Amino acid sequence: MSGPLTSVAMTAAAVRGGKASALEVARAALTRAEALNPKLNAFTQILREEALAAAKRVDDRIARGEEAGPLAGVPIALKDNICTRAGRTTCASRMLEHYRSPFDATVVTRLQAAGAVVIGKTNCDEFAMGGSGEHSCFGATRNPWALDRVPGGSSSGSAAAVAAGIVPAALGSDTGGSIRQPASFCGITGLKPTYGRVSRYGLVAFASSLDQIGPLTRNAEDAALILAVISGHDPQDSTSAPVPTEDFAARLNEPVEGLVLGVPRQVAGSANHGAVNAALEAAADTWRTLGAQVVEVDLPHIDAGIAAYYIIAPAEASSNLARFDGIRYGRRAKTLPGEGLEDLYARSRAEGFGPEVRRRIMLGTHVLSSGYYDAYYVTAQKVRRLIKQDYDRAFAAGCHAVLMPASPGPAFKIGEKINDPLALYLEDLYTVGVNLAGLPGIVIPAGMAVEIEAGEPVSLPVGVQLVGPPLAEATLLRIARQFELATVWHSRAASIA
Amino acid sequence: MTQALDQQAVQRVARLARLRLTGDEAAKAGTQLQAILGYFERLSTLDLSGVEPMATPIQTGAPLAADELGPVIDRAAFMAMAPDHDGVFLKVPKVMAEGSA
Repeated sequence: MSGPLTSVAMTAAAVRGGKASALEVARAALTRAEALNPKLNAFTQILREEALAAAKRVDDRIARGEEAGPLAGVPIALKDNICTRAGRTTCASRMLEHYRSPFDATVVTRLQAAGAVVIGKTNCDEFAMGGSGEHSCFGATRNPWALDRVPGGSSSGSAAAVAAGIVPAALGSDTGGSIRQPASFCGITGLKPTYGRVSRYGLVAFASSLDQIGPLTRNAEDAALILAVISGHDPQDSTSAPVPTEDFAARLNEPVEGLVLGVPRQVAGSANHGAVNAALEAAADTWRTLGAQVVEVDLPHIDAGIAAYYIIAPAEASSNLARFDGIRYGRRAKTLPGEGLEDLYARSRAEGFGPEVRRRIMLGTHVLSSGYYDAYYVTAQKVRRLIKQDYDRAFAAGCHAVLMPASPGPAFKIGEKINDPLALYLEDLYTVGVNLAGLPGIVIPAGMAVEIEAGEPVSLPVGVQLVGPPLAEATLLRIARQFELATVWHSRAASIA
Repeated sequence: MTQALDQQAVQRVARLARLRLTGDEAAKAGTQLQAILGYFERLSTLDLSGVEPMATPIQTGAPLAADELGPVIDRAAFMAMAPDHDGVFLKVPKVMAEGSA
């Protein structure tokens, strides 16, 4: 077994059918991870020993004739803000550089019970705050398609590991686009489930009313297989929806004939990269050819979403991250003689948090502070309601999904936007509203942008996004799967070796 | 909505956020936060009369967990999470000045 690992379904079938051992598959994934990580910086830790032991347990189950699970032997990578007993859970922050979680997140327990083999923890923007993968105490993750470009963020390492064929699936978290935007930049599939669909127990909290864990994979079927395992009510998370998981792969092959896709009229007026508009138009044509109806819808507050998001998310973050003070949690600065407690808190936090996290904590603290709370926070919460109502209207009018770009452009150069936080925030135009409204969204590869660099063409993937009503993941996955059957984009791979 | 974020205001926010900023960091933070807060101005053009604030997208209800004792983290594992401890007690700096009751 060598070369890239690209399919959850095929890997599980090979292991379950005795054509490959879980140990063999795990070794291949670990070898590729170790070979490519110096180039990509996709992993904060590669968990070789733990992965080989887990793979052996899967092989033992199969040897004893026991059920090995739907993900038997499938190597998987986890964003490093998901708690695991194995290794450390750093959130790519100096604050938690040495943190060892005493428990596994619910998604980890469920993946392991299904036979998946965790091979490592992936790099990300610190505490999942960022859209480029550059804001990590371990350094920037690199895009497998062009190593001088960002892979997107914040689930940067998860996207890069899947795009580079190290693992066929990884988990990320998505608070304002952190699964979907890197999926677009890396030419893979990224699914943000409905808020509440997947337990957040063991996900280090960034913005609790927005965070959701989801899969990054090479295709819709694999996303369906992972979602089926990780979703479902969890008594440990009171915000997890009291609805059972589904067989999300069951109806993937049903045609899209008769389904209605709504393209927001606001997209045409936005300053998107030409390749983003071209991919969107071509995708709409493909679905029309497959029998779906494509109509125009109105999402008048799409633009206001960025401002509302960058008030609400930092407000929640400033509250969630207050616990990391060097006393209760996190890195403690060296105590200075005669220093008061307040000073120790402030120095520990200034040393432990990187610039983007500090910026968002300050932004959140400001918008929640006395005299500003109504003007910013309450206003943003009202805009949140309007954004939700816009989507509700589109779905009530008969749309099965809203079709729009994932991001205004393809992957940009590392360092290009690092000194202009507002420019980076504006990249989130098409993703943040979906979190504010709590809806499921999937990004799939749908085209390529060609940039000329030093006279040479550089090909960069471009995704499109489908957004559905609450709990409509199965429909989104089916629309995505039918698109894959009619196009080649999902089978294009970065040529990194 | 926005007001000038002078250095005094930046240091006030930093104090509320329990962050220590150097002079340079505060100057940079002031410029960046001002640009971001300026961008938020666009929300003031929206008609929000009669709109209820929305705090969470939960629509399916949030069931309460059973009131039962769950798994307990053992002492050593718990201690290992703390920034400083002596094996029995968590160690924190003095919170009261010498001589205070």
